[in-house]
Amino acid sequence: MAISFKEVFNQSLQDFWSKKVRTIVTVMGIVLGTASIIIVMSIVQGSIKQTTEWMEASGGFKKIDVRQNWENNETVNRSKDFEYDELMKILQPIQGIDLIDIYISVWVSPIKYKKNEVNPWFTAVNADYFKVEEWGVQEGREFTSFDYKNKQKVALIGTAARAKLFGSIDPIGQKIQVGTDFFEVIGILDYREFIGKGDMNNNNWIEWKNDLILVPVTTAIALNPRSKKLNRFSLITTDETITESVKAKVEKRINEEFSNKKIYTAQSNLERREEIVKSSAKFNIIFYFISAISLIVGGIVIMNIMLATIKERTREIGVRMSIGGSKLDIFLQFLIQTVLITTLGGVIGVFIGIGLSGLVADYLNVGINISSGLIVIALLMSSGVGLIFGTIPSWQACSLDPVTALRSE
Amino acid sequence: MEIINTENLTKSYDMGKVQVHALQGVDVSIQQGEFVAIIGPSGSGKSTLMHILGCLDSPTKGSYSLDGINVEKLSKGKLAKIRNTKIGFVFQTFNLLPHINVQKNVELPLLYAGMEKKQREKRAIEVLNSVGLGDRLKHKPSELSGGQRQRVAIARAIVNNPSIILADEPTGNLDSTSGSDIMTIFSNLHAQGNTVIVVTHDKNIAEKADRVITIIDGKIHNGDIL
Repeated sequence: MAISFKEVFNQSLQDFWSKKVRTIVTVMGIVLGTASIIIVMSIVQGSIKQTTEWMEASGGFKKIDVRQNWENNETVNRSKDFEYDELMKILQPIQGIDLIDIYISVWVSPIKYKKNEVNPWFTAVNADYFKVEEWGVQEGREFTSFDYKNKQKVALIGTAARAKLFGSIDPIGQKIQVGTDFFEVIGILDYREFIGKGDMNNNNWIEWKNDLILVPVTTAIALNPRSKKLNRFSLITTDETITESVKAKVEKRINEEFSNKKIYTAQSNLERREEIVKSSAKFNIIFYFISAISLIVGGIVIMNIMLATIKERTREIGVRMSIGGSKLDIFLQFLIQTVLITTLGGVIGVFIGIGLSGLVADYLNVGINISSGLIVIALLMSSGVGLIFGTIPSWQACSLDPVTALRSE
Repeated sequence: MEIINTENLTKSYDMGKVQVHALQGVDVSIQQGEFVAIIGPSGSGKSTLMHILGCLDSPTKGSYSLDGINVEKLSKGKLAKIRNTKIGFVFQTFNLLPHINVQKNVELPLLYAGMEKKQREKRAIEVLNSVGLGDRLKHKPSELSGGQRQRVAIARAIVNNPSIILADEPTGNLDSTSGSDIMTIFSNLHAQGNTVIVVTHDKNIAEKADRVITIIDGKIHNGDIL
């Protein structure tokens, strides 16, 4: 080609500059199309990112939750419940399990301190619970192996439960009454908080954990035989990549105790995220479709205006041909011009989209995520529209007969 | 040296059921450095001849050699190249691009020839100086008078050092003073050794040329009808 890309580029910019209003009108469709892609995809990506963050905050992708399967009617008539020691024995031979997190909610309400009463989540936990939850105490001490081994009547108290029971009194060393037993408070748990991005109400999604009162699982079992029944527990695998295979093994092994009826089910965070991503995929297709339609409409508008432009510039095309512009020169001139105009529209659309997605996120109260990849995709799509819809007008332009073109008015 | 030679040049147009024979066997020979006028009434076929000589159109029959190249069978792409390097057009209506300045207009053929920007600018300014418009480089065509616009068009035509300068009624849209200025420029170009072909229906213009070729009804008229 005799004419360089840079020259066509400069020529096109000159054309835009001399036809400012037309340029603006031409790109409107593309601007809106690109902006809508940015808005929609930023929300979709935002929700996926938030899901991921939530999963990470609740144990990460090595985590497997096992619980009784209440969708199965046989669960009601199950032959037995697992007990702590038995479960440990069963899980021990399975490779790839790092932590076994036991937490048993025991309903013993109310819990009393002097005249104050609370109805908290009274929970019996093992040592791994604190590792899985990444939870510790802000004051006092944690449970020791001595506490577990000797079934000590000690308790850790969440900040919210502490405020309700003790007010301004220092709770450490105090005794709380649980049924007929008294437990010594040995520590105050750290404050737990997770606020979803874009959650404008600043809701703490795990506020309920601050109401917990924790006791060693061995103590709870010793005091109340009903606490032995394990209807749920969590596992942390040694590596994300083996989570799914460990999950399958654990589920199979546990249900072997129930003649392979599906009394227990296991679910990993990885699996949960996949489910959420999968269920949002259907909506994504609809969103993509709508965005694509608005881009196609923008493309048709551009094609129309380019066809009109070429009709109007027939004489110019004739002149360009007469002074040596080849078919390819003319074709590229108009094609590059169309691509430039749609890419320009894309750039404006990206900015508008970023601005508007912030507003939409506020209004819908959702998190957004605008990645650089999303911006690149949006720009590529707007350029692609120019490439596709610019071809016909450009072909028409370069196929003109020089003599006829020169004679046109 | 012979720069243009046509033999039995024929051009017919299909206008539905009727065939229009615009050229019916034209033999033209033009030497390098000649100043030739092609004259004829409207509808005589002189525009068709000019388009074919200018490689904008191809003959239906016959041969045409330009600067030693047989162009009648060349592809459209090759013809564009020939127009770019061997032919300089000057039109009755100037045909400058309205939205770019004078200098850019003159640079355009060099751009299509693939010349570097700096060289291009230098050459365009040089040529515009030679037609007396060195002080109008950044003006838009609409800011110039008709005579000035035609001088820009001439600058554009000669910027690539073409083998022939083809002018189609170059004074047709000008007043007599500007018209004679333009003809003086053509005479000067001829004096510098350029081959100039002017197509016109105006006898007074044709008189400035060394030789007049008369076309009537698509044929060269050898008799003296002037």
